[in-house]
Amino acid sequence: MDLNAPFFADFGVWLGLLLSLALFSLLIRDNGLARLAQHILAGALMGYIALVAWHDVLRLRVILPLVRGEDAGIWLPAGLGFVLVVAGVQRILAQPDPVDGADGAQPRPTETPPPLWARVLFSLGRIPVALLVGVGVGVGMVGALEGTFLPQYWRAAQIALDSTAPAGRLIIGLMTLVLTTGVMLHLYVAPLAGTQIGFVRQTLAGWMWIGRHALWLAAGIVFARLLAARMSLLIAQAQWLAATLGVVLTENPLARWLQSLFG
Amino acid sequence: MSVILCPHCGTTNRVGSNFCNACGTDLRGGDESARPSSAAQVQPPPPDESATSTPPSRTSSPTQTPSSVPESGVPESDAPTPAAPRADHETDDEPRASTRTDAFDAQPWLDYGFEEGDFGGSFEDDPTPGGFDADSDADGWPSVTPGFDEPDAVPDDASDADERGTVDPTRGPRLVTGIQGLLDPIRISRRLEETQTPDPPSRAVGSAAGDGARLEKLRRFRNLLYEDPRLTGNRRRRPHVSTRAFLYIPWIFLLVAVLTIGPLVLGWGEAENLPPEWPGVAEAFALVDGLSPDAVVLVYWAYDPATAGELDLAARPMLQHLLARRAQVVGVSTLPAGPASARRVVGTVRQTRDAAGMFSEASRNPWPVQVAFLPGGASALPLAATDLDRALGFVADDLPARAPVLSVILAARAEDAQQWLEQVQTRTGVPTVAVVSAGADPTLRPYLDSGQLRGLVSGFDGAFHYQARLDGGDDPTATGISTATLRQHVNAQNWAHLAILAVLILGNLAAILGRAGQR
Amino acid sequence: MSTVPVPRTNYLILTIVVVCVLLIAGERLLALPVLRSLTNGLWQWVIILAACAMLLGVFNVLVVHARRVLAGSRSWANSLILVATALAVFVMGSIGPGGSRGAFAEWIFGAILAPGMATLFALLAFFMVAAAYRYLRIGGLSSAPLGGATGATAIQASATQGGGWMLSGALLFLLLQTPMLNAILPPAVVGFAGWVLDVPAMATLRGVLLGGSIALLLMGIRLVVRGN
Repeated sequence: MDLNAPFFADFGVWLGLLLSLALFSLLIRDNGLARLAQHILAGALMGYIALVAWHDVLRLRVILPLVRGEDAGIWLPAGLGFVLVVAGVQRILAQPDPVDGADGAQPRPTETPPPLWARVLFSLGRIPVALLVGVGVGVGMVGALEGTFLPQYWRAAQIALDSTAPAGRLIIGLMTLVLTTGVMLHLYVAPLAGTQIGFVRQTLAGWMWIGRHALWLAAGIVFARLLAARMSLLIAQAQWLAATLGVVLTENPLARWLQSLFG
Repeated sequence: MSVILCPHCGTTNRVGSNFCNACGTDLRGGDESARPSSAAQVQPPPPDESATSTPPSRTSSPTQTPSSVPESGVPESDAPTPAAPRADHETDDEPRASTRTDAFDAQPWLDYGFEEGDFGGSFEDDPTPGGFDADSDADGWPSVTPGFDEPDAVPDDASDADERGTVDPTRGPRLVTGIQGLLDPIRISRRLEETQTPDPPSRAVGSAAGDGARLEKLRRFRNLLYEDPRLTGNRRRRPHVSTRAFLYIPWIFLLVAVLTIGPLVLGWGEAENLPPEWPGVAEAFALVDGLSPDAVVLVYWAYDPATAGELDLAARPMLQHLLARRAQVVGVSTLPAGPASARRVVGTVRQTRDAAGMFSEASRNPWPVQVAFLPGGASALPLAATDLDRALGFVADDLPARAPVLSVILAARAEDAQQWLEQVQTRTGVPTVAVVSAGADPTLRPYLDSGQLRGLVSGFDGAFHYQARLDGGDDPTATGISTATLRQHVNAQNWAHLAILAVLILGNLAAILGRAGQR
Repeated sequence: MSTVPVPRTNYLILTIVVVCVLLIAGERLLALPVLRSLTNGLWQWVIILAACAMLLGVFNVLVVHARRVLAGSRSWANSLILVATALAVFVMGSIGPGGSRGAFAEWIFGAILAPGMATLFALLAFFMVAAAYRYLRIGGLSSAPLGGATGATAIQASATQGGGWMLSGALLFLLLQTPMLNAILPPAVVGFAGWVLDVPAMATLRGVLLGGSIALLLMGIRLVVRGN
């Protein structure tokens, strides 16, 4: 089957066009055609993800090296991955069926405790999960410290505490300091309970007010840029639809076949 | 200002009134039938309190009803001990018992014992077809739902000042006595904020759930008896659910669709206006332009077809520029569809360059652009920094011999760019340029300001200016591949933004006019 | 009185997590070659395990939909199509030459995935504009009912305070990024917008980044110290 043949290319164009139009019908209201399109898309995506994970990662990095004997150390992560998959499959299949089979039904509660082998498998399966969690936490913490916190803190201090800067820049620096710390106060400090000394409470409240309103302003700016981004997606898709419709209606052999059939 | 309290409904009336403004009771019967009370003694409830609040002159409990107040005039739940002090409105020279007889001589129906003599029994023996089942207080008189026991805070202006009436302050207002029980005094709301109905009887102090249900039935029956005028809410006001919200959405969708597709299909307004150039585009262009031939560039492909509509606008000229500089481009992606997206874009760029006939053997970039898939998100990115061969080795046919001198982030989300900066840029120290979605731009500005990013190209405007620099450069292989598409896109963005601004103005007008109408 | 059982700390799991964290932190801070080779191995393990986790996730989705088909639930036909499509794509892609880079996978990508995903995200523009109409107002959410939930009162109150600020920031940049209006705006306005982006907005977002990184650090420390 030659997928590069014109028929499959045309069929692909038609399929994409119909899928897009069915999904756009969601703007009018939810309908069966849109749901069908969503399920087709989801199914294709699931299959594609599984294909990429198998072919691009597991086959290339585990299966082939094992078969060729290129990397002896690959046995350990391969074993852990196998345990993860088996334990996961067992847990997924052990989930009880829904009570009445309807959408959104609650699962039936488990009545009997799992057998010993299932409990052992579950315990073993937690090891690769712990590895993933541990690496994720370590990478996240170190990256946040080294990649964001330290550079941004240093830059904020540079701006705010530059004693050699001219007056205008000093003011901007102070404003930057007040805004940055005000935002952090607003994010981290709970509403003041009234137990502080009056002027301290008022100062903190005013500082947090500044931070809160600066956040609102920044949120508006982010929203404006986000609108532009989403408009770009819509415009690009409209361009694609217009071009595809033009191709389908004028150059497509299927269109020519339909024209010849119906005059 | 002095006011007098109606003995029947408890409504505050101006001193000198002949009849009660609410229920029409004659206030002139006897010197003691209406009790003068000063405004200071009868405090109007504050505007934001619920209507269940009652002045201290009548009842203590907010849910006590007029007829539920027994003969003593004091609510049962608050019945004082025999030695309890008088209520605030009482004066020492006003004996309680003596006022009763005089008031009821003129208006015998005000007598609590009136129905017992004429009708016998209570309403409980005479249920209505509607299921009305009157509740009764300790005296056998039906209790009614609260809400009618508060005297109106603002006295009536149109009343006769010559005659005065008094009311026994200890009586408390009654609503249901004999035939009077079917007619509630009409209570005119004088305050705009007086809206909420009192709590249902089930919440009254000491009342059982069954009593509450019966009171509810009684209330509904009374509501049925009089339809007009219904000047105050004796029923719970339902929250206003605007149906307009469900009508405007299709019109907004239509406006956006017309103003977005119209320019594309009908060629509206092919203006030459330029979008703004944000800081970072020139720096990114200069960095790529300064690459030496065969320099290795590491690309982080962090977008897929979902956001390709926007990112392709800038990714194409960026890739075109890199290929024109003969850079060896290798990439990683943490998205399953990332490598396929990359292949599409690279294929488009190559085909257009070939079709333009601007490719000579010398200028053809021999390196295929390989992008490897690394699952695991941020946890897998450090491998691209520490061991690029292992990160790419399974997909790349021919690996570059040198370390990368530039890294390019193509990301739809700010988080992806942040992860690259945290995991790879901190390890390699290689200059990094980001091509991101417009929505990610503000969040990444601090990184540009701190020097972690050396260039930032964001959104359709960044793509336009990058393409414009590429078209105007000295590179003979630059063909302006996407110029026409970009111009069309910018024009459509013009109209789309006008639609957004129109929608925002309309929304605020609707809000302002709506508030004015409410006032 | 019922008591909630306190989960026991699994010390083996906690040890694995702590060792990973210390290894990664040590490799970055101390830069020892032995630590570098250990962490390189760790990244590769993560890639393999993550791929296995992806397969598990896909399997879970298929099992859920397969159960709907077997139980005959209301949308069983759609679920059947989903399962069949997924299996067809995986099997045909695996069999064909080139695997995920073969002709079949590329055809699936171009015919279904690319247009479908792009269309779904293109719909967001409509909903965002509708949301902007409803919520970006002077006075915030006070004029827009939130469904009557009492818990929305606090949200309304806080949103009312910041609605005007958010609207002003959005309006300023919407005016600026509209090419037609950008050409006619006075230079003072353009300069002011640029200043807003460079100073207050940047300071605010820097504060957000700092706050977020501190939160991440605290969460990681809490996980390691408390074990849950």
